[in-house]
This record gives sequence, C-alpha cells and structure tokens, in this order.
Amino acid sequence: MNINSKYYLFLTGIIILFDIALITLFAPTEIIMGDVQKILYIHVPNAWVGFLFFFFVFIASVMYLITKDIRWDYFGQSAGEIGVVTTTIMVISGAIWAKPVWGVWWTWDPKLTTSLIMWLMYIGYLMLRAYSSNQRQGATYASVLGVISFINVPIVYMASVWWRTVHPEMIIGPLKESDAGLTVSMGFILIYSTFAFTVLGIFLLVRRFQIQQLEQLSR
Amino acid sequence: MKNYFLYIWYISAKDIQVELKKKELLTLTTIFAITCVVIFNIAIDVSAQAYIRVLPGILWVTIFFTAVLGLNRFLSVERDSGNFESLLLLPISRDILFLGKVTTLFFFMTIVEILIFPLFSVVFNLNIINISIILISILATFGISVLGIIIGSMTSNTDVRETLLPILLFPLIFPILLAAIEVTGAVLRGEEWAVYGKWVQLLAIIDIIFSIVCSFLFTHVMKDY
Repeated sequence: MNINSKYYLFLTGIIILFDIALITLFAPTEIIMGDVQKILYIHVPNAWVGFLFFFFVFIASVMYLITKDIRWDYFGQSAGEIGVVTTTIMVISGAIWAKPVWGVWWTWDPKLTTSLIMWLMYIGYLMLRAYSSNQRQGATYASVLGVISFINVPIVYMASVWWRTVHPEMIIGPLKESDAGLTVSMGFILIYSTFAFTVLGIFLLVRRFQIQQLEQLSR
Repeated sequence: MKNYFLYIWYISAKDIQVELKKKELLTLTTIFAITCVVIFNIAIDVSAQAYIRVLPGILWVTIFFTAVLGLNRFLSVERDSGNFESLLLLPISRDILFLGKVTTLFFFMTIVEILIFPLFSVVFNLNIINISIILISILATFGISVLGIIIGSMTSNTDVRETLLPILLFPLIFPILLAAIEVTGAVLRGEEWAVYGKWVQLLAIIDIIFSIVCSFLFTHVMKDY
C-alpha cells in the first residue's frame, strides 16, 4: 500500500467536487418529480459502492480463512465498515426520495427489504468482530459470518420477490423502472457520480486499511 | 458413510440423554413458548376478522424466540461444563461434531413444536396440524438449527454472549421465517400446493446450501474456539 495519500486525497476531492457541481448545477430537473429526483445521483452510487464492498468482504473472508493472513482481515473489516456507511446513506436517501414520490417513507419492496436485511447482517458482521475476546478469534468469526451473509443475500432477495407477489396490496405506487426515463445527460451524470463515489470509497478503504496497520504496530 | 451418520447420532444422543435426565432445557423452553402464545393471545383480538392473517407470524416468531432462548441456555451449559473442549479431543472430523449438535437442537425444537402446535390450535381455535405445515416445520426447524449452531457457537465465545445471538441470527434466518410464515398462511387460507410449493422448495434449497457451507465453516470456528 504505497499510495501517496496526499495526491490521492487531492484527486478524490476534485472528482467529488466536480460531481457535486454536476448534480447541483448541470443536471436537468426532472419534470414530474422535480429537484427530489437528484437524490438518484447519491442513492444509486452509494448502493453500488455498498454492494461492491460487501463483495470485497466476501473475498476477504474467504481469503482470510484460506491464508490466515491478518491483512485480509483488515481489508474485510475496512470494506465492511464503509459498506455499512454507504448502505445507510442509500437507505436514508431512498426514504427521503420515496416520501414525496411514493407517498410513504418505506415500503416492503424486494429491493428495500433486501437492503435492510443486508444492512442488519453486516452490522452484525462488525459487531461480532468488535465483541470477540481476541483479535484472531474476531477475524475468524467475522470471516465465517462474512461468507454466510454473502450467500444469504440472493436468498433474501428471492424470498422478498415472492413475498411481494403474495401481498400485492403492500406495494404503494412503485415507479416502473426509475432509470427508464433518464435522458442522456442524466445517464452520464449518474455514471460519473457512480465513478466518483467508487473512487471515494476506495480512498476511504485504503486509509482505513492503513490506520489498522498503524493500530497493529502501536499494540 | 454408515459410520458417519452413526457418529453424528452418538454426539447427539449424549446431549439428548443428559437432557432427558435433567429435563431443564425442555421445561424452560416449553414454558416460555406457552407464555409467548398466551401473551400474543391476550394482545391480539381473536374475534377480529383479520386475525387469521397475523397467526402464522405469531406462531413462527414464538418458535424463533423459543429457539434463541433454548440455544443460549444449551450453549452456555456446553461452555461452562467444558463439553466442547472434550468433544474436540475426539478423533472425528469437525463436521460430524457440527451435524451432531444440529441434530440435538433440531430434536429439542421439534419436541417443543409438538407441544406448541396443539396448544396453538386450541387457544386460537384453528386447526394448524396439516401435512404441509408439518413438512415446512421440519425444513424450517432444520434450517434454524444449522444457522443457530454455527452462529451460537461463535457468539457464546464473545464478551456479550447471549445478547448477540438474536441480533446475528434474525437477518440470516429471515428467508426461512418468511417461507414458514407464507406456507402456514397459505394452508390456513386453504390454498393449493401450486401456490406455496415454491416456498417449500426454497426452504429445502436453503437447508442443503447452509448445511454444506456451515459444516465446512465450522472447522474454522472450532480452530479458534
């Protein structure tokens, strides 16, 4: 991990500032939803980063169980923490968007259900590590849970899809596909925003990883 | 292969024999389950039209809470008596140990369910004893046992022990609970197998996946026990 973090921080800052400028100044206002539609540019990238980082947790967990190299565990923990933060942002931004558009803060749509259950699972992943009696044990236990949780995500999604079809009355005016009506400029800003948040996520991941190595040295 | 299942049975039979002598765990969990059913019965107006819709949820939430309570007690006895450490000395692979413990939990939960289902039928005035519900109960109980043992064997070693188990276990068994609740509800509404058959299949798949994956992962859990 020999990345000169000063330049990387500067680069990440520029990318994020440009993203904010694009969203606030240049993104077209949607006719029906109005300004609230711009949450999309925060919501979708955070969802993407969350899923990506939970996938990293899975990789790190498998690798830790195979190699028993503690750096894989640092990687898993860092990815898990950032994944939980971005998933929290995703859920909250989704709720803020849903209130004016769907008329409710929350509905048990499969995507929402899966996100919430996934969020709970990965908070559990961090808790199990935090409350373990020693570092080695915490690393192994968290890795075991990281593998089980990742396998569980598609099962949860499948179950929620069927659950919804059994209770059609539970759905309050879901939009068709929210990105079906995107114009070219909206699509571009969304892709750029996803890129920007991925860069930010990886920056945080690298920094968290370095902090953990320093913590280990200071022990 | 025959020996494999025989060893699993030996591990489990020891626990069952101990419990049949002490009768501590089964008494506690059964009384707790009865208390739950009574509390829900008081809390929910059974004369209301829509109450049938909430019954499957009550039944399975009761079973989930009872499973967590029983599992915590079971594992704390195991830990305090140093039972796991002794079992680790046995020259058998860890997955036998794991499946043995799963069998024990499955056995205890099934006994509690055998007692709770008729009681539930009586106090809520509904017949829930049906071949589909029995099938889904077996599958769901097995799934809860598999995930319960692997998560429980980890949480019982942490600093917060009992408190952490339900927090970790609930999101993981969410699909199992959902499937069990949906099938029970569909059967109570008098629907056909075509409507809820897919849930039974999903549960069977979950059971197979997690029993294989968790047997493998249990080896790692035991290395740092």
